[in-house]
Amino acid sequence: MKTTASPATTGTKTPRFLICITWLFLTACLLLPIVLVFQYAFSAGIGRYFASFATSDARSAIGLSVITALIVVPINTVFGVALAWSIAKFEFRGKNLLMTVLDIPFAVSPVIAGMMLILLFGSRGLLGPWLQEIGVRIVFARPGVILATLFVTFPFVARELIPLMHSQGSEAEVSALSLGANGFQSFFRVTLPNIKWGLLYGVLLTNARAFGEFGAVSVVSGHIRGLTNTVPLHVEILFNDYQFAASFAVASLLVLLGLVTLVIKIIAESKEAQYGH
Amino acid sequence: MTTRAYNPLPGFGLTMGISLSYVGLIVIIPLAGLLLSVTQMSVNEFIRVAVLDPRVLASYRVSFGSAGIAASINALFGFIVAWVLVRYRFPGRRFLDAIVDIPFALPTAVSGIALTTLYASTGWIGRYLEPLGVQVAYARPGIVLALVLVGLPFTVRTLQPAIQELEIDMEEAAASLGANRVHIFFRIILPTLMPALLTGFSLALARGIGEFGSVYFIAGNLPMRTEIAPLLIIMKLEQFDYLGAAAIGTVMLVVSFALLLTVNILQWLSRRSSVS
Amino acid sequence: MGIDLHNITKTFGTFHAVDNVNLHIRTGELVALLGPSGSGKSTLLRIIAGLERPDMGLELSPEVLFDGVPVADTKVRHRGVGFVFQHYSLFRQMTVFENIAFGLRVRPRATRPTSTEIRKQVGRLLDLIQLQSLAQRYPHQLSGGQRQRVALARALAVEPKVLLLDEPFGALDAQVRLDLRRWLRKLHDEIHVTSVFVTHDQEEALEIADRVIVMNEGKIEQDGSPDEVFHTPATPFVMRFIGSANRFRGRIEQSRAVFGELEIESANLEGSGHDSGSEGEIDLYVRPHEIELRRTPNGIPGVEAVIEHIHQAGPVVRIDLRTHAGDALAVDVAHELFDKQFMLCGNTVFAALRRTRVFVG
Repeated sequence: MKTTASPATTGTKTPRFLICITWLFLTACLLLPIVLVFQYAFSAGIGRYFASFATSDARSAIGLSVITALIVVPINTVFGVALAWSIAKFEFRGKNLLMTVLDIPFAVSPVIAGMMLILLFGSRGLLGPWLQEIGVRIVFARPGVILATLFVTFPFVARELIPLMHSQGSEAEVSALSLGANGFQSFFRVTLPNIKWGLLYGVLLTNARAFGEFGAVSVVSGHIRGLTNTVPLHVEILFNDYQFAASFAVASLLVLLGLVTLVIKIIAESKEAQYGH
Repeated sequence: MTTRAYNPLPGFGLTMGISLSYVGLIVIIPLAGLLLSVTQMSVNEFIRVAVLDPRVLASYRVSFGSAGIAASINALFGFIVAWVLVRYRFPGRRFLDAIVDIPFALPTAVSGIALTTLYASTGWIGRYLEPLGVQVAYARPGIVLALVLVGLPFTVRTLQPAIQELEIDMEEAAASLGANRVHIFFRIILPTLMPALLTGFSLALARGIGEFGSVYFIAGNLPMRTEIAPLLIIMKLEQFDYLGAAAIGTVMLVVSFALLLTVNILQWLSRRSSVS
Repeated sequence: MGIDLHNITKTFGTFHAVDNVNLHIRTGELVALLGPSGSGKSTLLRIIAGLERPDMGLELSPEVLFDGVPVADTKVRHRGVGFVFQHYSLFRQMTVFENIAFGLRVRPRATRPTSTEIRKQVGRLLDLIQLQSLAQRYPHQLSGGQRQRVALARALAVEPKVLLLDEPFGALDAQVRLDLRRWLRKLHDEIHVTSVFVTHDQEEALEIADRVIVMNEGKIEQDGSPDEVFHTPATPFVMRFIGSANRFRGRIEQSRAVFGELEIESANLEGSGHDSGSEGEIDLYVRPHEIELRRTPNGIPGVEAVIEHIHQAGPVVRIDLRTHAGDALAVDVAHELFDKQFMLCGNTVFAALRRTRVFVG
C-alpha cells in the first residue's frame, strides 16, 4: 500500500486503520442503502419489477416528473449559466450578497420552500383570493409542483460553473475578442467547450434533483393521485401501503438517475484534470 | 474615480439583468411573502405559537438537537474520510471519492425508505440491533443516522480542498523541530483546518435542520418525541393554519440564515488568512 | 501602422498605474516597454489593445490614435490588434490548426474566407512558425515555446495592424527564451508589422527592440534606441535599472563635485540634470566595467578601496571592494587582465573611474 503522507504525521499502522474506517463508514452509510434498493426492487422478480412502472398511477407520476424536469432543467440551465457568467467573470458591488442568495435553497428547508408558495398562492394565501377570481390554481396543482422544483434546484448549474469559470479566467475569451469574435461567438466557441463537462454535470444534477425533490413538492402537491403526484411521492404512497417491492422498484429509477449523474461528474473531473494547466 | 474596473468581456448587463430578475422572482418574492404573512401576527401571538407551544418546542429540540449531533458525527468522520482521500493512495480511493456525492444525487425519499428498511426490526441491520435493545428506526438514532447521511458530502467536500492546501513542509518543519504526531496534529493541522471544519459543520447543520424527506420515513413521527419541526409545518398547513406554519418557518429560517452568515464569515476569514 | 498616445493616465483605486504618458510609435517599429513590475508597462499595452480604458482627465482628455484615427470607442474586437498573452491562452479544446484559424472563422459571413483559403493561410503561418507537423496537436501536447509560437501565429492570422505582446517570453525556460526572442526579431524583420512588447528583462529589450521605452511608476523614464538607453541613461533610475551601477553620494561645492575623498572638476562631469554652476546634492554613477583597478593612481579620478571578494565564475571577474568611506564598490575585470594583476582579498587598490555620470540627487 503506497501512501504519500508525510512521514511526520503517520506511522505505518495509522493509514491502514484510517483507510479501513473510511471504507467501513462509507460502505455502511452510502453503499448499503443503494444495494438494498435494488435487492428489494427485484425481490418479487423481474416481471413484477417492470409491472411496477405500468400502473396508471406510476405512469402519471413519471409523466409529471418528466414534464417538470423538461420545464425546470432548461430554465435553470439558462439562468444558471447567466448567473455564473456575471459572477465568475465580473467584479461588482453586492457580489457576495448574490452568492449568498445562491446558497438559500441549500440552507432553507424544502418544506419551508413549499410553505412559502402556499403562503403566496394558497387559497388563504396573499394572492389566493385574486388567483381564485381569475381562475388560476397554482398550489395543489401542477404549476405549484413546477415552481417548488424551480426553487430547490435553481443554484445547481451556477454552483457548478462558478468555480470552474473562475479558475479558467478570462484570457481565452479576451483572446477570442481580440481576434475579432463577438460576444456570442466567444461564448459558444471558446467558453462553452471549456465548461461543457461541468455544465453537463450541473444539468444532470439539476435533473436528478428535479426528479427526486420530495419535501417541497410534497407540501404543494396535495398528493392528488394521477394528477399532482411525482415519482418520489408515488414511492412514498407505495411504501406507506406496504407495497415494498413496487416502492423500491420505482425508487430504483431515481437511484439510477443519480448514479448516471455521478458517473458524469467523474468524467467531468478527469476531463478538467486532463486539460488543466 | 472609477468605481468598477473596465472589463472588455461583453454580456455583463445582459446576464446581470437576467440573473437579478430571476433571483428576485424565484427567491426574493417568496421570502417577502413569508415575511408579509408573519407580520399579520402580533408579537405575543408569534411567541405563543412559535416559541411557547410545548409540541413546537419539542420539535425544535428534535430538529436542532439531532442535526447538531449528526453534524458533529459528520465533522469527525468527514474529517477522517477527507484526510484519507487526500493524503493516502490505496486501492478504491477514486471509487470512495466518487460515492461521497451519493447523498447529493440520491433523492431524500429514497434514502429515507432505504434506511428505514435497513434499520427496522426485520431489516438487514436492525435485526442484529434489536436483540441488543438498540432501536434505530422510529427513534432518535434513526433521525440522526438520516441526517448524517445527507450532511456527509458537505463536511467532506469543504475539508478536502483545505487539506489539499495544507503544506506538508509545515508538518515536516515541525517534526524536524522535535514535535510529535499528537503535537503536530493539534498545534498545526487542526488550527489551520478549523475554518473549513466549522464551515462544513455549519453546512451539515443547516442541511440537517431543514431536512425532511429522509427523516420523515425513519422518524416514526411521534408527537413530542420524534416529530421534527418541518413536519409540524406541514401539519399546520394541512389544517389551513397558515400563520402558525409561517411562524415556525420563520424561526427555522432565522436559524438557517444565521448559519449561512456564519459560513460566509468563516469563508471570508479563511480567504483573508490565506491571502496574507 | 503608427500609434499615438496622448495624456494617458490610469489609476486603480489610489494606485497610479500609468501617469500622463505621451508616446508615438512609428509604423513597422519593434518597440519594447521595459520596466520593473508595477511600472505600468502592461497597463499601457492593454490600453493600446482596448483591454483597459484610460482615465478621463480633468483638463486634458486621453487619446489613443491608430494612424491618426481615434480608437477610444473602438472595442477590442474591432481594433485590429493582435494580442499575445504571457501564458499563451490558447484555446485548449482546439487543435493548433483550429487555434490559428479561429480569427478567420469568426469573421462575418461577407468577409470570411472560404475553407480552402483558410487552410492555405493557416498553412503559411504554420510554415512561418515552423510547426507544420504539429497542426493536429492540442495545446496541452506542446512545449511552452511551441505554444507561444502558436499564440503568435494565431494573432498574426487576422493580419493585425499592430502586434502587442505582454511578457511573451516570461513563462519560458532560459534557453527557450533566448532562442525564441531571436526568432521573434527575425520574424519582425520579415513581416514588419508594428509591434510592441512588454518585458521586465533588460537584456531581452536591448537585444531585439528597435526602440526601448523605459518605464517606472507609471511614467516614461527614457525613450530611445537600445544603445542610447544603455550608454547614455537619461535618469538615475535608467542608470540603475539597465546594467548595474555603483553609486556615490556627494555634493557640488565651488565648481567641484565632492564625493567623500573623491573630487572631480564639475566642468568634467558627464550627465544630465545638473548645472555646473549650482550647488547641492549630487549622485555619481559608475558601471562596474568602467572601473580600472590599479596599484597606484594614474591621474584619472578615483578612490582607494580594499578588496573584499573575488568571484571568478563568470564571463568576467567580479570584484567587490569597500572604500575607506565605507561604500561598496563592484568592479568587472576581464579574465586576461585579472590573471596579469595578481590581486588578492585584503589588498588595497586604486579604483580609477574611467567613465562617470552624475545626476542631481
